[in-house]
Amino acid sequence: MTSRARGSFGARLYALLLYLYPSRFRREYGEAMQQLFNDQRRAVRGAGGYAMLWLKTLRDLVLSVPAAHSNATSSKGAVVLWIVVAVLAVVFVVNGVVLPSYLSRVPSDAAAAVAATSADGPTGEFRTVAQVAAGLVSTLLAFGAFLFAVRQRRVANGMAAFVVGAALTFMALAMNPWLWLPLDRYPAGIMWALGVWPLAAVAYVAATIASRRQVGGVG
Amino acid sequence: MAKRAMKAHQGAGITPVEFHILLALVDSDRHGYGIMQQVAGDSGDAIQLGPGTLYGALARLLEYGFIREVESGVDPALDDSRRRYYRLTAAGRTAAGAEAQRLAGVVKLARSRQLTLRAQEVAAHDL
Repeated sequence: MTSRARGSFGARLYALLLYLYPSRFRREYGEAMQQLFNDQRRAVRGAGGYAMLWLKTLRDLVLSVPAAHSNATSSKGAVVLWIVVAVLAVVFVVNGVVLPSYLSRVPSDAAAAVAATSADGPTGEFRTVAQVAAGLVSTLLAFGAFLFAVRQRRVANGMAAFVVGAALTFMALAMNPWLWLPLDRYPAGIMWALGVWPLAAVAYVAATIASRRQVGGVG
Repeated sequence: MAKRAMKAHQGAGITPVEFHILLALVDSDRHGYGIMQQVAGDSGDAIQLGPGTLYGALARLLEYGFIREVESGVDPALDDSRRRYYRLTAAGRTAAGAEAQRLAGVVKLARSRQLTLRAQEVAAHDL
C-alpha cells in the first residue's frame, strides 16, 4: 500500500467502514481488504469511475456485513453477556419483587412516608435516575442478546439466547420510566416482549438470507 | 463446516462465487486483487467481487480446506507491499471438479429437453 493510497480520504473512510465487520473477521482480513480497495482505487479513472467504485463498495458492504456477522461466533462475548444478564436479573427481582413485598409489610404510616419521599423527595429523584440508567442498560442488553441469538449456529444456543433476550426486553419495558409497566400488568408486558422478538428475528433472518443469496450469486 | 464441506465435496454445496474463485486458482496462486480480476474476466464481468464478498468467500473456502494461504509476496505490477497469496488444495480441486460435473449434467439435461432451441423459438416468436 503506498503512502498516498493509505492517506487519502477514500482510503481512510473505507478503513472506518471496516469497523462494521465483526472484530475477528476485521483482524484477519481487514488489512487485505483495505489493500484490495486501494488497488481498485488506483485502477479507476475520473470522477465517474470513482463514484462507481464507491457505489459498488457500498453494495458490497450491504451484502457482506450481515453475512459476516451471521457467520461469526463469539464465545467470550456470550460469557460476558450471561454474567451481565444474571446481575441485571438479580437487580430486577430485588427492585420489582422483594422491595414491594417488604414495603407492603411495614406499618401503614411508615409506608405512606416512604411513598411520599419516593414520589417527591430526593429519594424519588435518585430512583428516577436509577430507573433511567437501568432502562438504558437493559435496552442495550436486550439488543445485544438479540444479535447474539441470531448469530448462533446451533439452534439450541439461539433459542436459549432468544428466551433470555425476551426476558431482557420485558425487563427493559418494566425498568424504563418512559415505558413504565405497572406490576399488575406483567402478563401484558410478557406478551409484548415475546411478540416483538419473533417479528424482529424474522426480519433479521430474512435480511440475512437475502444477503447470503446475493453474496452467493453475484458478488 | 463439516456438513457443508461434505456436500461441497459432492459438488452440491458451493456457491457460484466460491466456484468461480476455485476456478481462478486452478492455474496459479493468486492474491485477492488477482482473484477478483480473474473472476471478473472469467464471468464476462457478470461477477464483480467487492472486498467484503471476496474475503468472506475466501474465509469459508479456507475453513473447508479447499484453498490454503501460501507465503506472501510482492506483486511488482501493483506496488511494493506484501500480499497474501492463495492456492487451490487437492480437496478444492475435487470440489470444483464435482461442481463442474454437476453443472455439465444440468446443461446436458437442458439440451436434452431442447431448452436452448425452445428459447430461440420463443425469442423468434416474440419478434
